[in-house]
Amino acid sequence: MDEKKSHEILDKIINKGAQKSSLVGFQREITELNVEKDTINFLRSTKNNEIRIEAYCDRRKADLTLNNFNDEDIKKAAEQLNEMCVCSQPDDANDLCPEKNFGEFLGNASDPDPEKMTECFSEFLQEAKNRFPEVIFSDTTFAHYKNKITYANSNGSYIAEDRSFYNANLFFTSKREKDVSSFNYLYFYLKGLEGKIIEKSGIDILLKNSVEHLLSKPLKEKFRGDLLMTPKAALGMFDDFFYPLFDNRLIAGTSIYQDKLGEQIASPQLSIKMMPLSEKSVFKDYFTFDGFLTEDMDLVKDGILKNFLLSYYGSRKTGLPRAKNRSGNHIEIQSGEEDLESLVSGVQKGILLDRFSGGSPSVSGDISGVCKNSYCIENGKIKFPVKEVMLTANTAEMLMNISGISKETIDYGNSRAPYILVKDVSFS
Amino acid sequence: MVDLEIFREKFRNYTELRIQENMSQIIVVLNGDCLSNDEKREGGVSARVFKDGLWGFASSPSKDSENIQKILKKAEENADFISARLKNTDRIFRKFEQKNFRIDLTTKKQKMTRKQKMNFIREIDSYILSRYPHLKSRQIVYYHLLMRKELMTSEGAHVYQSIPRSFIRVSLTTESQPINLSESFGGLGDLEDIYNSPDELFGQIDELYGKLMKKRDGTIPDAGFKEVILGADLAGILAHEAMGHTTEADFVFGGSIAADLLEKKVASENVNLVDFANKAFGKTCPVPVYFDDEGIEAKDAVIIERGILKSYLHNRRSAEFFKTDPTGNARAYNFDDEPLIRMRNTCILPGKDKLEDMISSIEDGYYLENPANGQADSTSEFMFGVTFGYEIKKGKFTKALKDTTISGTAIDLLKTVTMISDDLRWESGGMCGKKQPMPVGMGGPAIKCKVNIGGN
Repeated sequence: MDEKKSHEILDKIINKGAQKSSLVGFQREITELNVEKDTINFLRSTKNNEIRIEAYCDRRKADLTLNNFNDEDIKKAAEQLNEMCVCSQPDDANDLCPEKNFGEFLGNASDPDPEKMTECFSEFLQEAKNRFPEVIFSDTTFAHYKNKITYANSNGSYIAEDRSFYNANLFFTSKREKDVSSFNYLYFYLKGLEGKIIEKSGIDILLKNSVEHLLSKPLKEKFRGDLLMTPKAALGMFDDFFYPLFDNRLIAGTSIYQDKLGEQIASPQLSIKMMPLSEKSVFKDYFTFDGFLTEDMDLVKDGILKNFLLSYYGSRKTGLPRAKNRSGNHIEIQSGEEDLESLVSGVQKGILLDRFSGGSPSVSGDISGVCKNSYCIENGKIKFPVKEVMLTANTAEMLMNISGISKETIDYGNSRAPYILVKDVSFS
Repeated sequence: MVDLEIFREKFRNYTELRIQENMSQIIVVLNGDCLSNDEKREGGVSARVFKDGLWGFASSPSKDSENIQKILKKAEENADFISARLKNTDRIFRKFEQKNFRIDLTTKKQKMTRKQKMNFIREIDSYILSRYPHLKSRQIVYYHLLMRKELMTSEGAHVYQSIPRSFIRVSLTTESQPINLSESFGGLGDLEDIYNSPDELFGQIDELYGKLMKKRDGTIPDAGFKEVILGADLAGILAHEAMGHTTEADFVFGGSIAADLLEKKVASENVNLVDFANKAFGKTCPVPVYFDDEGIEAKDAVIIERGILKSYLHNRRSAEFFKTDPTGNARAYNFDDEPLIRMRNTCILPGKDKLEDMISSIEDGYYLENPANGQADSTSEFMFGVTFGYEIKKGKFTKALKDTTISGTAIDLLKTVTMISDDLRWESGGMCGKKQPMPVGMGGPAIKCKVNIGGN
């Protein structure tokens, strides 16, 4: 939504009684190929135009999202927001971004090329079938997104960014006669359609592993040993490890990291950056939905907690610093000194984990779940694919028990991660 | 409102034209502070066209006549594009009897204002604070979703369904050591039709607090393969996640273990598993589906009958492939979503046993009552979090349990079922994720079986 229209809407909200207001606009066009039984069978084109309006009145706040609106709808929305605000509850932490920010980060939009999309993805499916005939793709999509996101507020801020990218969401399993492997999936971003899809983001390794898991077997015994997480598993467990750094737990006072800013919460080997402005990324996040321009930041540096992941509201509520970004799309776990082979060779007994199927950690960080698409490691060698192996651990202890990080990383378009070795985890 | 019938003559191929609006309200109160006071209204029009075995789909938020014509044209173009470049041999498309149908389950009472709803939530919060002042945190979430769909197909169906669902989730955390327990209350309908006043929930909140106190002093179960009773909510999540998903025909195409098990034994003879369309045991289900988003009249799907896998869940195409009738399981979440094969209200049918007898029959095991989240696999392997339960020794509850996990393979677990309780309970706020979110009903009786339980 352009600046003039955004401020016209905000003026209407203010005129109906709100003291402050902000508006986030999302324009989205998706062109998506869908796959069932290894075959592209569906082409979907969607458009949406959505606005999310926040209104503030006497420290009360309300939030209304609409996607189909004309002037009359906006007038009604202004009245409704006023009513919603009145019945809400005053909270000194409710406030609009105090900065007047301006920025137009445009020029990144591109249109899809359905012809080339179909060609590239058909070629990928064919090549995957040729190399791994037992693998079956289903519920898989390959899509192009063309998005424009804007932010405006009654302090005079206006920020706009556009982003276009391709996205593959692969979902697959393997089947040979009556044997079936666990499903696995991979989600990654691409800037364009150059190069072979099968060579991106470690897909070929996952497909090979999927076939090997036709012969997976359970472990015979419980043991305490090492957990080697693949880059995909490490990123997949990010929320499990760091949910206590977000608003909810810190506001409730139940976060295990409540008083840990600046303290050691992980092995000195671990450094994690959140990099929404990274030049390596397929697209950037230039602003937060509460109206601040983003900055890259360290989340954990040499094992020390450098930032929480608090919104502006969460920061005011807790008195703790606001995150310079909360972009879960752009996580970079720093690579380490050792190569993967060396990490594996140091494991006496353990599990190479590719997908964790588990419940959310308890408030105290206790976590348990099943190791999917995973392998048994014994005497420094990856031995055989496992099934029905349960992992039981505590997330805070796991971070402190990191004993190795690989040189090798895998790039998923916006996020990058290495293999991470954690010692002393229970398996049963 | 545009009359969809005027577009019927524009259909060149098999076509679905759908207008849909989803309206959601969320209020979140954490320790007395209102963290969210949100409403979202999202709607638009979509068209899906079938040509030469392949689909074209298009959608847009604008529902005016001119735009609907554009969307129809774009869906046709997408079908033309894909069918010109790709081949599909499954070209047959059987016709089914199509009907006109209309249902509106929104409240006929005076609608509560936003302020009244906010006061409702605050009263619950005040009750918890006054009665249980030493909690570290208390969170109350009110969630309401109204899905309104109007669907017209080229075969003649014209269906309007307006289905609301409301639930309140209460989450309590102890002060001294952070132990948490949550539960959802509510289900089908607008809040006005479910509760007359907040005090109707106070008894259930007292029970939740009582369980939290027991959990605080609870024990961690011994890890291993144990005899257990899965309470209704856990039996429901097992039915949905571990067995239901493996029998969705698109999962079967994708390699699900169920592909080779039709008409084979997958459970004890006393296990019957049904995906109900809209009514079960004379009552409307939590998520009633009368017609699906392909215009097919929804029917109950019997998945397991006396321990034998009898059928999959189908849309029109999969029913064609398996030479059976569709069951009305094709459901789309948002206006811009295509229908996918989804469950509706899935449960193991009640048996003849009394829960007390089931408990007293266990010498050394567990009663597992409250689930957290759950995940399952194409192999029917599953993992569910358990947030509350009891240790059973010599047929009696002893200590409560702290958080734990159960895992296993559903078709192995279901073969160990020896007793099934004679009652049925539906979970209040089930949501399923499979490309799109979707409200679902999950429930069941309690079942006695053997399962791997996580320990320390």
